[in-house]
Amino acid sequence: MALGALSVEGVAKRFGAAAVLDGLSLRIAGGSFTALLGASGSGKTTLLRLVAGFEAPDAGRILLDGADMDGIPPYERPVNLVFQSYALFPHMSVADNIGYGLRREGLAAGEVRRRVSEMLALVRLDGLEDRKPRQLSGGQAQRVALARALAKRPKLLLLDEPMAALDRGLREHTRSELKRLHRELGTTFVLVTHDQEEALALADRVALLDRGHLAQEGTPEDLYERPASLAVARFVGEINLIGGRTSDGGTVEIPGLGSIRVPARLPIGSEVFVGIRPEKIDIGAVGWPATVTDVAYHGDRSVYRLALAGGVEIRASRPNRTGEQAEVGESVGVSWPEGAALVFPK
Amino acid sequence: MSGLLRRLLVGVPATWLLLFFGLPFAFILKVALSQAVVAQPPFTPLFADGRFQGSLANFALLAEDDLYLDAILASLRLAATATVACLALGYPMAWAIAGTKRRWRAPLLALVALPFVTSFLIRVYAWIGLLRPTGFLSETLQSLGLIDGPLALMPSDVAVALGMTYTYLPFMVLPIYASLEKIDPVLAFAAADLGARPGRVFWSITLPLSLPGVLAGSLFVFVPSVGEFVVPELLGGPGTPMIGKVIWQEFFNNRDWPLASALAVVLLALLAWPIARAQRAETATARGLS
Repeated sequence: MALGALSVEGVAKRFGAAAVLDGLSLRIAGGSFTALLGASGSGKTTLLRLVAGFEAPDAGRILLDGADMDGIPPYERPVNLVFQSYALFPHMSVADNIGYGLRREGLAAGEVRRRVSEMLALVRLDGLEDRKPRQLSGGQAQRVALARALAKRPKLLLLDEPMAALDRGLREHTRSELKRLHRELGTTFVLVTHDQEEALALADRVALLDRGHLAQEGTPEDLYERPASLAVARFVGEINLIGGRTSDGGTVEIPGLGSIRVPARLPIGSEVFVGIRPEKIDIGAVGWPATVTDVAYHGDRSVYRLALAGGVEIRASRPNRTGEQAEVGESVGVSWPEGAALVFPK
Repeated sequence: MSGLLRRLLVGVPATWLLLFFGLPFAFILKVALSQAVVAQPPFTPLFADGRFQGSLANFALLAEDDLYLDAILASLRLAATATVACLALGYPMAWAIAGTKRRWRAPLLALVALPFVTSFLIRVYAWIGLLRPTGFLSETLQSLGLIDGPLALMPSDVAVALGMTYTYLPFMVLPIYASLEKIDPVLAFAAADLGARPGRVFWSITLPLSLPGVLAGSLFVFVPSVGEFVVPELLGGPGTPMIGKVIWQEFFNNRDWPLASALAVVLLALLAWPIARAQRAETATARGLS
């Protein structure tokens, strides 16, 4: 197995009366690109600070390649962090920033220089070594922060909301840069983010944290297509939720609408939500009769608000392939593939 | 902002400087170039019989007589001592205040500035009560049996340095605090993350980033200390007088206004140099940071 495997075992952390992490367990495979996804207050930043060593857990253990990190100060951990604000040292040049961690290791000046220029080439900043941080653009500053953290050759690289300070155009570019660095270095990357789109697009594993617990860990497809809970389904992507009650094995009775066939099996008579992603819904001639109440045109796709019988409202997202759109007031048929309906207990 | 308003805002301090520094200094310079006479005013006019009568004779006299050079050196030495002492005491104070919880900082800073509510003269007099051979310190140490005879801490240069350190300490603490408080705490985390132990974090991050405050504080202590008059007058010994005292003597005892003015000009020139140096360093730092 690749180096840089992180194991979080039953970690709890309280700040005053508030339990920020409540017995969290999580395994991150060495060499993976994992996103720690969560809303603010989910505990993802606290977990990051615990792994970096800035805080100590109240309970539980954090193991890196099997070694317990308990009592090991941040300056001795084989873990480096790219700060959200980058935290470049303002009084040092780009080269001195990148070489800072190497000098702390006691490397000879020549070796530091060699490694610094290697890092500058890696993040494509050759020629900027004498600049001061204030003379850098946001994208350049971020790459210096990356180079500075990677220069230490950490087993694990933590990235704290690395795109938050970048404008939209730069984010796309930075994403592919991060993927390239991860491919080239094979270091474990752990990305902390509240942006589900970023997590899905970048990471090969996503761990969704919800109020101090691990809600689900899996591939981006697992979280989107097979959410383990209502909370996951709501946080990752958009979803239509229709309340109902399971009747026999494979159907849910929706009051006023009828019965929807679902793949999952829950005890008969339990209150549930049926969840359907907007892009799984077909609008055509057949299916549930519905009326279009609103159309939002997004260029590549349109989002329709549809009123079904029994006061049920759903949203459908359709690609605009032909330029033909359903119009407000139009009566249409609504359908979806049987596997697209997800069921969650209420 | 409109050009007029901007010119007005720059104009206010410029006018202030011209009225209360530029003009008096021009007058002092004029007097320094004249000769002392027993008259009213006690100096010769700069222009008489349609000719310029000024000379550098007073400056030449200052160079000839060791008394003045000694006074300048003694002043620089005592001011430097007070500055170093203020730095040694003030930096840890500022660092401790900057490190406390936010709600404690304002009251602690108010405590640093608290001595200002009492008259400066009274506070220096209080030091006489502490330091004189029959004063509090000497008596206490004797009654504890730690020393035999009375302790003569004053009048002396040590007492002067002590008095100036006490007087100017807040001027060191406040600018250092201001620069420490501005440092983003995340930088210390970043340094630790990159392998710096706490001591190394201080030397490589905190201290260099607080240097503008150290520089400003040192100037605020050093510059007024060099020309200090009250503290050496009250606590100083019979040895080499400080330059402020010499200027006073020339003005009021010898009634030699021109020589006193020349001395004042030399003192100003001496102090302008470190200020200009600091200004340049500040500009360089600002350029590096922006």
